Amino acid sequence: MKEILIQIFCVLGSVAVFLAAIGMLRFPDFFTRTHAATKASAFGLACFLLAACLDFPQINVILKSLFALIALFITLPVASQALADAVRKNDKGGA
Amino acid sequence: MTFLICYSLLALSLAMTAWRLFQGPTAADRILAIDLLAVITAAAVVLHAIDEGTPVFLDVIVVLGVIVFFGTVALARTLTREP
Repeated sequence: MKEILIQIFCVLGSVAVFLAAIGMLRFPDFFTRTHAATKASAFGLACFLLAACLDFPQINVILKSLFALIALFITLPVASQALADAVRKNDKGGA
Repeated sequence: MTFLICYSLLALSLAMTAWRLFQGPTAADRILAIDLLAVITAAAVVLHAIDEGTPVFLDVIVVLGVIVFFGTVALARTLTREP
């Protein structure tokens, strides 16, 4: 049962990351690419870390992946927002 | 078998993101592609840790996330700086 759940979470995470890459490749604009690349990849990484927590049920691993998850969920939107803000300021200054 | 499918999907994602990294029209697209490449690499590291059964590799994700965050913010600041 646990192995099936781990495999389901792994497949879900890799499909989410794959959809993020498809959006990165196919979307026409920079801002839509930001939308695709940040949200879906964060969700995929959360699924992978949940699968790791299920696979290694030790307090060490669970705390480590929880810290990684919180750090990524804070830093990924901040980096994406800084990048989008830089592009928007450049567009406004250039026009 | 399931892990093989996951590895293949992640490799395809790496290829598509690298295509955007090489072709991206603006510099911001390339920076975003580098960010996504790091996330896909972190996902592949977690998948390899689950596949091998050793949780040692989970340290890599924390360091990778912090380094990529500082890199992306620094490059975004570089974009807005006047020459």
